[in-house]
Amino acid sequence: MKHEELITGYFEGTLTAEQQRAFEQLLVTDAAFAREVEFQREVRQAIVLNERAQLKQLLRNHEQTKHNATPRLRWWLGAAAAVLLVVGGTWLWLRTSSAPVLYAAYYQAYPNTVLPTVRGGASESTAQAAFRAYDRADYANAEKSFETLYRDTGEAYALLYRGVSLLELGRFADADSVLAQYPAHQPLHGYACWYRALALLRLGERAQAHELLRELAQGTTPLGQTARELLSRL
Amino acid sequence: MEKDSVLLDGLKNGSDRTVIRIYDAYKADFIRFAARYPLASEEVTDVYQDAVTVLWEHAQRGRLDALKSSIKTYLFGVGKYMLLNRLKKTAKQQTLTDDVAEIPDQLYDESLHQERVESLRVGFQQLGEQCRTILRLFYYEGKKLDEIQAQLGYTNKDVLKSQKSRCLKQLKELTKGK
Repeated sequence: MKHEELITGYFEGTLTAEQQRAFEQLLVTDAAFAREVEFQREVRQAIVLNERAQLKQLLRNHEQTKHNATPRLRWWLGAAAAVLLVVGGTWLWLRTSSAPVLYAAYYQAYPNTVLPTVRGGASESTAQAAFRAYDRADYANAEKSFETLYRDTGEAYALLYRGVSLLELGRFADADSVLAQYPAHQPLHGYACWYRALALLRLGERAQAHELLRELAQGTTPLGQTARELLSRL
Repeated sequence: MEKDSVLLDGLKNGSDRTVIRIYDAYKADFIRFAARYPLASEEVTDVYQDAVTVLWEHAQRGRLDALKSSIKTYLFGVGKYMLLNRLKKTAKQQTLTDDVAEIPDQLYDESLHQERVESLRVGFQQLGEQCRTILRLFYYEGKKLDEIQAQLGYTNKDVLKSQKSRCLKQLKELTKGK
């Protein structure tokens, strides 16, 4: 049996007793073999840690959004009610439901959930550079790096982060066309739609924004709920 | 709330929505349950997040396929273990480390070179989608090459094998000298 197959069998847990003995023998006698096994065990651990960090980040962000969303909305509703009481009249209500105001009330940059621990260095990849800029709120550079990243790798997440960067830069039409490219089967599609709806809102395309939000509002995720709230105010 | 079997399927398929649903469904109960331990509420939330992470990991690795208890019981079992560990650590005034690693598991091996593992983690994120998928299925989900071949629709196992070797080689190169 070839060495490579022994190693595969070890990770699959399919080695026979005899193969297991050969495997252990090689670990002791063949330094290159032992190094390769060690390397692949490290790879396994790296992937496990990566997976954990991503999920943890997802849960933290979720916790954060829950925290932020509810009180802020309640505060806003309270404030709006007070203003209405004092001033009265419908013109103010119209004004506060105008697109830029709603945009400002609902827009929040999407958190970096892809590369949570980025370390700078000489051999920084495009992805690392992009997220570092993004985390520093340097959206002009982030936008450019995510564009390169998408062109080179086709990573869907690069579209989302580029879109959000464009929103931050106030380039709503560009944000709309970038976010529209986000593929429907990818995991962050809901978020891409959400930010696209916000961009459309700012562009005065209420009908299109409405349509996207209605789709989102059918979901049971926290995002769906927020979409329903925003819809009710449009 | 859906049935446990539906939720477990969702976890296995890596559905973010499912994991968030589970997280929200049992959080309040977990916090009540943890109230008997002298831990700050942020710490309890942190432990709860780690426990959900373990649930997710075990589901993805097929370890919950024959689960006899409910998801909630399993989750609280893991959580309780972690709460006790956290207490021990707090008592010793040690810096807090990765709680998930405290669950006895072959996947966490102290003997490995942690700095190298960290640079591999960064390298892994730089790999293309196909490489990440293959390596994740093999090393994380613990799938056999035959299963991966069927899942990803490779007509020839040797093509998959050489693709996997190329991915490992690429990863080696990405982390060379680090």
